[in-house]
Amino acid sequence: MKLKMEEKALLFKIRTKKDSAAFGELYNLYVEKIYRFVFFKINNKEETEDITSDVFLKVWNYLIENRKKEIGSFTGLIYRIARNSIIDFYRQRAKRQECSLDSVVLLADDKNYEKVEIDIEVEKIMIVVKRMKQEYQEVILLRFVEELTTSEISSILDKSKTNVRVTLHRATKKLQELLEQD
Amino acid sequence: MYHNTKEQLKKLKNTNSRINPDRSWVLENKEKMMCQIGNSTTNEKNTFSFTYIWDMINVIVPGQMVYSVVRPVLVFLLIGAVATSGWIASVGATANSLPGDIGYGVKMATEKTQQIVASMTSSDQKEAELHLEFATRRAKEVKKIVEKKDEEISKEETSKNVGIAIEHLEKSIDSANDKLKKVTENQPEKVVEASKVVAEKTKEIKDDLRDAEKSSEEGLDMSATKKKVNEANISAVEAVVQVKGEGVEVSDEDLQGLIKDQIDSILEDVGDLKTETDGVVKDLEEMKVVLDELEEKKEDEIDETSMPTSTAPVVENIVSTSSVQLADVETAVDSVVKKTDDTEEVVKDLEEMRDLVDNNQISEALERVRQASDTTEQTGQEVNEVKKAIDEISKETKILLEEGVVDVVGDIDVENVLDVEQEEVVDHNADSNVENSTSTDIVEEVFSTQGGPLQSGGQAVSGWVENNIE
Repeated sequence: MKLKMEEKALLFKIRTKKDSAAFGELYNLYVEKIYRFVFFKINNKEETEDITSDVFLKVWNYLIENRKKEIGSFTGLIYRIARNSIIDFYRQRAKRQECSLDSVVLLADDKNYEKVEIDIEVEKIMIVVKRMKQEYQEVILLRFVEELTTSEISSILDKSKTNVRVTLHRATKKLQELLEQD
Repeated sequence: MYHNTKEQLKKLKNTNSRINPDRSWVLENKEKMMCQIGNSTTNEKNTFSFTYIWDMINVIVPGQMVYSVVRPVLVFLLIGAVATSGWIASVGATANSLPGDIGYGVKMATEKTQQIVASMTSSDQKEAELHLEFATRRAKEVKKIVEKKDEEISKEETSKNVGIAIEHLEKSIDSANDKLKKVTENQPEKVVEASKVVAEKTKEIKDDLRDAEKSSEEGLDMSATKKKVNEANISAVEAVVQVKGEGVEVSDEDLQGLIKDQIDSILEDVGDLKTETDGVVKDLEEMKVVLDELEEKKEDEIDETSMPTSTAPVVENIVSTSSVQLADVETAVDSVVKKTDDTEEVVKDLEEMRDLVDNNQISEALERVRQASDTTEQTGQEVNEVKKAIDEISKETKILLEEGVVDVVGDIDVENVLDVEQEEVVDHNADSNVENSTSTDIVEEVFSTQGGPLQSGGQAVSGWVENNIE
């Protein structure tokens, strides 16, 4: 709640005063989330970085240019922009080869052996998640990784809440099945 | 298993896996971005927009609520504000209304509401203050009613309206008294403060009542109301003495101040009483002069035998009975004068007691103040009665002279007498067109209800009047 208020205050500053410092704060809050969101779909570090920074510039421009429009939720806005950027990216490079997560090499460090172990576990799930369809991946990421609410997800994906809940239910069921198969 | 999966998914964002961005890239990208943003910003002037207000509210109130709740609420608030401001304006317009006016009911209703709200929300002390405030307003109303000289308003109506205001005033004083008692019981530490307010307000009330009395043509008798006001004031001081006895800290200065105020107010009352008594004595003397003149004239007329012998006894009768009644009234006046002097003496004693601090002495002083207040009230009433009696006598004499004697004694002679008399009568009683029979009734009524030193005088007058009319 406090975070939400802070976010709204920053947004207000940006819209009324074009406060770039406030936008910097927002960047700090969202950069990792957006990066993850994009990475989930692109699977390429360099491309993800490019798209992420592009997303933030687009958001800034949108905020400055549409200052009189009501913004229901900043989360919804930034994710929608990210989604559209990803779609643009796919259109431009439809034939690009993806590299899979299987190739991920993790270096075990003596100091945080346990941590790496967990990471391996997590990576395993990631691999499983990657086998599902895009739609399911999206909701799983937003709901369980970013811990957003269904209503937020519905605004990001431009779907009804019920639709999101149903998709989420199917996705978790599918995920369980896949995990049990392994 | 399922729960575990969820947990692991949650941990994803904290891992070092490729899914999270490099720290160095994040910082680098931020710098780059800020630079680009900085370039894109133009120094375009900010224009104010109403959406900013909503956005600002949006910052404080959770998301969708701004549009679904806050906006309708604000609209309703505005509607409410417009409606209540209209109401307040109309109530404010009635604030100057007097009993008998159309708006007076609204005014009283407003006060009643205020009082109910206060009884639910405020302390007893505040309530007492509110009641006193109302009492002050009533006193001001009395003053205004009396001062209002409007041809359209009949005397009966005026006295009825004064009666209404006085009734409300006494009620308010009673309620204030009750509340003060409660304060004494529940919050002894607040009593001094409350008593000061009582003293202040009662002074205001008494001043107004005094002004009303002075400007009244009717010989308005406020001594009972004044006594009630005094009573309230005295019990307030007594409450202070009481709580002081119970150990609440009361500065001597405060207490002395309160006592002093009491004594001063009584002194003022007695001063008024004295001027009034003096006035009555003067009236009496004027009366006497008139009658003496009448007698002389009568003798002259009889000597000259211009008057038929059959009517001579009538005039004689008038003069002699008038003198008899006058003698009665005189005794009444004497008693009043004596009482006034007595009261004055009691009060003079009080003056010496002004600087007392000791509790016992203070109680004694208060007792005396109370006595003085009682006697002042009684004497005041008596003075008023005497005043009325004198008025009645002069009126009766005049009527009889006009009806019975004028044609007998001759126009010029009696008119001379009448002129002198009339001036005096007009002072007290502008409306003298009372029929004979009714005036006798009035006299009878006045005197049968009065009792006291005037009763004999009253009977004498009515008996005499009846005889003569026959």
